[in-house]
Amino acid sequence: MRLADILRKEFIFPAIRAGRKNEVIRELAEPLAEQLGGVDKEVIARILADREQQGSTAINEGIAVPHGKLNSVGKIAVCLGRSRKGVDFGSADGRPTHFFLAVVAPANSKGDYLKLLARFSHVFKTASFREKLMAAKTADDMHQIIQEEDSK
Amino acid sequence: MYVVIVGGGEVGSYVARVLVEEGHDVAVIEADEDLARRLDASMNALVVPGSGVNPAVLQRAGLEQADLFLALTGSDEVNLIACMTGRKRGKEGLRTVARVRWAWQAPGDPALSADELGLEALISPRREIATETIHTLRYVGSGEVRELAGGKVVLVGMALGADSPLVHETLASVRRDFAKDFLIVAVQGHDGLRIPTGSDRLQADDRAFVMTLPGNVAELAILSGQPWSFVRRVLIVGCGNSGLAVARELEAQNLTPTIIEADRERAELVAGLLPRSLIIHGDGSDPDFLRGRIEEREIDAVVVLLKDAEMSVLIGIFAKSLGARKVIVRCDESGYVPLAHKLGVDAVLSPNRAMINAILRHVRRGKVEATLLLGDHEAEVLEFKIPEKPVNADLFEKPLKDIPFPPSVLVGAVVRGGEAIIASGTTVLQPGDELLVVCARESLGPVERLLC
Repeated sequence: MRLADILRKEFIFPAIRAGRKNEVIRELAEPLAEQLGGVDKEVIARILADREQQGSTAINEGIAVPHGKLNSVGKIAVCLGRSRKGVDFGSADGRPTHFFLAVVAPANSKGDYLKLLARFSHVFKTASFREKLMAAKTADDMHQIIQEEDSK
Repeated sequence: MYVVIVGGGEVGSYVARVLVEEGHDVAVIEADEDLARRLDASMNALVVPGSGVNPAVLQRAGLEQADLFLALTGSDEVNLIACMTGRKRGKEGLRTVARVRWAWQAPGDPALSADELGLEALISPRREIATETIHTLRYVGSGEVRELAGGKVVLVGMALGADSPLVHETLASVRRDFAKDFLIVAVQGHDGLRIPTGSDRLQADDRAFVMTLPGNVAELAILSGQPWSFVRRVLIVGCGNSGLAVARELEAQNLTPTIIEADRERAELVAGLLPRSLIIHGDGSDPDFLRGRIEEREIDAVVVLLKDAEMSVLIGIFAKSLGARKVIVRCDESGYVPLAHKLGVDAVLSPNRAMINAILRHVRRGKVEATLLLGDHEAEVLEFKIPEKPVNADLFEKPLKDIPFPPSVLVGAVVRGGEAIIASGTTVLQPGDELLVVCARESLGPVERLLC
């Protein structure tokens, strides 16, 4: 499984505006809704927020994986947001989160979306990679950097 | 090996059973005649009624031929004197190990060392239990976390959720995406524990034992399909020695644990030793009381460290139902463990098991650096060090998959030059490697012969 194959560059957002956790979720719900064509972005924001209620998805240093499942969708939708300033997402170490991989999967999706989240956590673990990605200017550059790290 | 065990109580009889299962000759000395009779009827060991500090009794137990002497009664004094007597009267090179509880020792007092007493080791499971509790609290997922190879490798025993890819794909298929990250080394199912192969597919109610590197546990937590969470507000029920050690470690991490202790004197004592913790004198088994404390302190994790296994498990299940995200219980009754897991308890820790793990190290001294029992002793994790000048040259210059291992044996990880890697079929061994091998009980002997 390759992250770069699933995450399209038009769904990478190098500068999300949100400064707070619930705003991040609302901001990323929009492109997810667009990807899924016809799903209400409010519904997506709500399922992502529901999952955060069970415990923050800020799983590793500087990254979070807000995710949820939805009955009405037929495929996995993914987008990546970057916040250079960082957002308090309730991480274990209390430090700000900079990268958000938001995922919506069909309700009958089994292991695949978890593999995607795990793969993201794996690829984003290296500090030097995160620094490079933080320095990248455009979504194209970010996609390129992810592709390189992913094929290692 | 001939092993003399002093004390046939809960700990002694458990250790005796495991050693008998491993094929050792075991003699158990038990002072309580009724208990001695019961042990004699139920155990394939020589049972000698009498006191372990009486030389005549020690002689009847075969002390002269013993290679290992374990004093495991509930009394530190008896254990220490028995070991000293054993050492004096046993054969040259007899190794003596005493169980100590340090119940008489105020926290902070300097501890006696095995060296000072001329013994091989003093074993107290409290530190192991405290360490395991801390690792398990720190892990974001659900399950027991144990460190291996000095912390370079961890073994996670984890429950699987319905969405876990491990339930929907073969292990080989999941491994294609995460080859260097982890290896499933054992699976606990309804009908016991097995060592899996690549074509295995797990069930949602199986428990997977996964070997991984400390940096990869987040991925593991995701792939388990269980919710993950971070723990900040910890409630400890029962503040004995392990509880105190856990609380001290949490305080060192700038956390402020809440502690419920039923004994007033003990509560006052630990209150003086734990400046950041909130110590509440009360009964953790009272549902209303427990609910009140969990709610008012906004508790994320509950650690139940009572000696009474039934009570510990019950409180743990109740705490889970009240919404505690992580629940860890102490329980020496292995029969309850599957039930506790099934009812939501995230991790079950057993001091008896910690004790036997520590003791097995002395049973296999020289060959195996550490041992960990899995399941109901169906398998063990062994930490071998291959000699720099190995006897068996067949182990090298070919991948692991071409080495004729006995059945149900899996090399999980290799530590080389201080760095750990998760093993695969293509890993090639080198002299001086440290191996973490998972091995079904019946293959223990053949594996030791192959690797040493």
